[in-house]
Amino acid sequence: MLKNYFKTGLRNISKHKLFSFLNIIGLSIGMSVTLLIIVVLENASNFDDFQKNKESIYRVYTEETNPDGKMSWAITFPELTNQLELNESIEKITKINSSFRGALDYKAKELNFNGYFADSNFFNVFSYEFISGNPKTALMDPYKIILSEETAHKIFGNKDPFGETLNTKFGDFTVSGVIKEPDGNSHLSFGVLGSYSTLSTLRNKNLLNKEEWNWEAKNPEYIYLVIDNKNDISIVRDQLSIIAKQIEPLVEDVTLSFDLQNMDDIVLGKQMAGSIGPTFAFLESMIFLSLTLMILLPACFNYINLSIARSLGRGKEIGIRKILGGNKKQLVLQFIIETFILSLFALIGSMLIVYLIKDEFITLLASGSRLQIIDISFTGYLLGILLALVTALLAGIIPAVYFSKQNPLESLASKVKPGTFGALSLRKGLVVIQFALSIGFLIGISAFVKQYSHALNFEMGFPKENILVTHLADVNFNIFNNEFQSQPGVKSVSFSSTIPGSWDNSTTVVRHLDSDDSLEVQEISVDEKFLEEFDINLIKGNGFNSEMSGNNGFAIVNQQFEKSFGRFNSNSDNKNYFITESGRTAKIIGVVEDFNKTPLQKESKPILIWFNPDKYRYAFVTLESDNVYDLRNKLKKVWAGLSSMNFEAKFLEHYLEEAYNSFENAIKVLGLQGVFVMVISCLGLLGMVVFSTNNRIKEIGIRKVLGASEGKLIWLLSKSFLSLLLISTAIGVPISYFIFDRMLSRMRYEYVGIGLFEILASVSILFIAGGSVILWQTKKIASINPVENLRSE
Amino acid sequence: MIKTENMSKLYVTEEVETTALNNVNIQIEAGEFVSIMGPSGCGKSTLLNILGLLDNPNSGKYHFLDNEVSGYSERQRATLRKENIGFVFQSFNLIDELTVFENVELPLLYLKFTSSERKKRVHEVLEKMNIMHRVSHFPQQLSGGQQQRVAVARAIVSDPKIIFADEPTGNLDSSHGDEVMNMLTSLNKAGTTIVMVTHSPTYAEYGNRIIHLFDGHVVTENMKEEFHV
Repeated sequence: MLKNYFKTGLRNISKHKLFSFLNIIGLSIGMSVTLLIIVVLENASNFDDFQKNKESIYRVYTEETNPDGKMSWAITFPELTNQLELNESIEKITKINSSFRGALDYKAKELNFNGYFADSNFFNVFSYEFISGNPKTALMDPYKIILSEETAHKIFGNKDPFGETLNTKFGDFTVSGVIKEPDGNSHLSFGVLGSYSTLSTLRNKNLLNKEEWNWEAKNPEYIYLVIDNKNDISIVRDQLSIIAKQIEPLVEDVTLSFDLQNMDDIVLGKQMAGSIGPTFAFLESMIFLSLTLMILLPACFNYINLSIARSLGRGKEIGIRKILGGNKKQLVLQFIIETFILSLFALIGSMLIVYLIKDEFITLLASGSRLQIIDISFTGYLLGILLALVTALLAGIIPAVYFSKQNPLESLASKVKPGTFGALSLRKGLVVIQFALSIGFLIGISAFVKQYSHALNFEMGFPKENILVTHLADVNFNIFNNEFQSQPGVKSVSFSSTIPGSWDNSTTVVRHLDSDDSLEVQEISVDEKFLEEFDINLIKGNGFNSEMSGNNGFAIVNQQFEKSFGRFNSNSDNKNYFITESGRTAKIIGVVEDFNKTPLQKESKPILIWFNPDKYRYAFVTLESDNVYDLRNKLKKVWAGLSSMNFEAKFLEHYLEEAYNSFENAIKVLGLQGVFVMVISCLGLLGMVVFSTNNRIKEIGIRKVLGASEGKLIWLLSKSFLSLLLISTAIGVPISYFIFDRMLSRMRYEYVGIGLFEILASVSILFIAGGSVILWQTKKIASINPVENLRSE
Repeated sequence: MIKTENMSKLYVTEEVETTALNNVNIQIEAGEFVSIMGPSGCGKSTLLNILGLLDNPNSGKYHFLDNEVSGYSERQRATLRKENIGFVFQSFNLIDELTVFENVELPLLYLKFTSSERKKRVHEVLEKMNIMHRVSHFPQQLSGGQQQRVAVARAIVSDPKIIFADEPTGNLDSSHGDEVMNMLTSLNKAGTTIVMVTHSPTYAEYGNRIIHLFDGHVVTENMKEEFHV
């Protein structure tokens, strides 16, 4: 019986080409996004599977509690290992540092590399196969380097590199081993491993800062443990809590605690700052997966719609099957199988779409490094087939039940009109839902675009053009200032602790010396030229002068600070003094205009400006407006004379744009989904128009013979569909306005609102797209020669 | 085998009420070949549909194989139908997407015959209908006569007790019409009861009894020997 169903299904698909084409395209698009998420999640769940100890490997992570809330960090203190090594519950322990990157030099060959400093226990914890070298000793001594097979091949070709010397900015390294590429994805992705003892040597030589419980530096250090007995996990956790208590006095401003994360949860678990490798927030992915239904369902609606619309053509077959003894269940099964076959074709289409969009989409979905290897594995294919089955059920069940309920005699006599059994209202309802969804996406996209461009063009209170921003890294700011300020084309140089308009944010709480009222403020440390360079005008009092450098007794505030702080009761002698939560007392010497220290998503807070060179992390170099890119290249050379680190300078505008990356991503995701939903809806509409106008060919012929003009006939055929678009608009506009207005106003401090223009533009796009589809088909039918129309009887 | 008692059927549309059958009383015994005749709209097809368990009467009784079936649900009728009845239609009603073999096989599939049994039976019946050489063709590749032979093959493949034929020769030329009638006659001779609706007096005479309908009433019933009286 099943064979018979498959055969009939296949023959029906090939016989009704328009129907099959519209549905396969629609379902391909509808299934593609769901399939992509499934494939990505499936890939993510297989990460690190090749690690033999995977189940018993744990990463130590850090929970930071600051005034803004809690934050999880994948990084931690390498010093923890000294205490953890004494814990008998821990079988093995290793630490890595992810700053081993730059260029490898070998006999005039240069290759950029990414890797880790790893200690000699690395291969006790992780499973990698050695091609040459000894896993026990390869990372023991300083300045040893292990290459991945690929890296070794790139530099040395087929030659065994063992014992060769490679130059890096960290010094000369001797190759102590080559390892095979692992069989599968790993969150640890590296081309080289340097011995961790190198870092210790560099620190001892004072070439790197000593790191003793310095959380502010946030060094990329990671610790992995092997705990064989699950019952021992709590023992290790207890020890970590004790350590956290012990270090409390050593860490300023924040409270830290430590916890363990199983290797299984690294890629597909909790989102953490400072993670290595890609991470997927499981919950977000699940929400996203359910959102994909917004695309899959309209495609299923098309199928339902078109299947019922062509029921007239299938009446005979249904009637015969029923007369010959086919029961309802058998007919339902037959139609579900037929839909399943169609979904399998659509699955192939959706796989093609997945290949086309996966890279772009994965970047949006996966934070951290870009996930390069996404393959559809055997399980992926099985899941794909499962998806086709689910789609077949979603799309097929309504038509199947509809067909199976038909009276055999009426079916046989083709008396079943597609308008009976409330089917017409169902079909109209589905089209309305599709287009209401489309208008929802259109309004959402236009609202996001409006907000995005508003954010980019927002007057931040300081100039954004031609300011080159660079991290100071290991360069002293005075040396930087002397070298850069003297370069031709450089207008001015200044320094600060954070980049204005970026997410980088530090806050404190201040109060008057004689009052308990407190105010939460944002802090920034700048030099004496910063306010001038950023065109932030002093309204009252004085700016900093060089003599005040490093003196925490003076501060400048913005107008918002002055206004909020001024409201508190205070003795007039103390009015200009405040005390911070860390007990520092300072005098306000000046007030500047308000400016936005953080992106618009964050509510602007009062700003407190210090003059503290110890905190400088960024240099701002304002360039003459001509040839800024040439100038940047010249400055790169100046930098090379100061530091071994890369010159990672970007223009301030780019930093500001980056602050709105999430926005850009939202627009891309919404845009892609919107295009998909729109295409699916138009395909569905086309199908519906085709089937219903074909049913009216005779009527059109008679009307034409009786003198109706083509225009009138087009209007006659189109008006019911246009009214569906109108109803969709009437439903979709208020609902989507409500949803996106609430969503954006919650997210944005500087919310601009959804205007009439956005709504009109969205409605116009909908009507242009939908209207063209309707016009194209109705014009075709209305222009047929009436003689041919009547002959079709 | 078949007995109706005061059986009536009414069709009600929004404004019009049409009596298709009015107190019909007929009886058909196993092994008979009964022709039903009458002008268009007299209720022939309605009677055949009810007798063939495709529809229910509004009033009266209908005994089919000793079951009173007038109140049966579609599911109950379907079960009785697939086990006991074969149909032949004027417009053949073959499924265009299925080959000759698959069309004939269909009733056996619904009766859950095994694959080998189906194959055997289909081949036997196609041989009998002399259409074996077209076994892999699709209906639209066959002539009208050939299509009707396939339809007859499908009707008899499950070995039904009775065949209902609705104008089986209506779409055929006279030579093909004769061919089909000869087939039905030989099936009847082999023991199958046949009830056939026809417009043609000539083909009606192939039966051993003719029931004349007019405006939903049975007006006359002639046995074969009375035909030319």
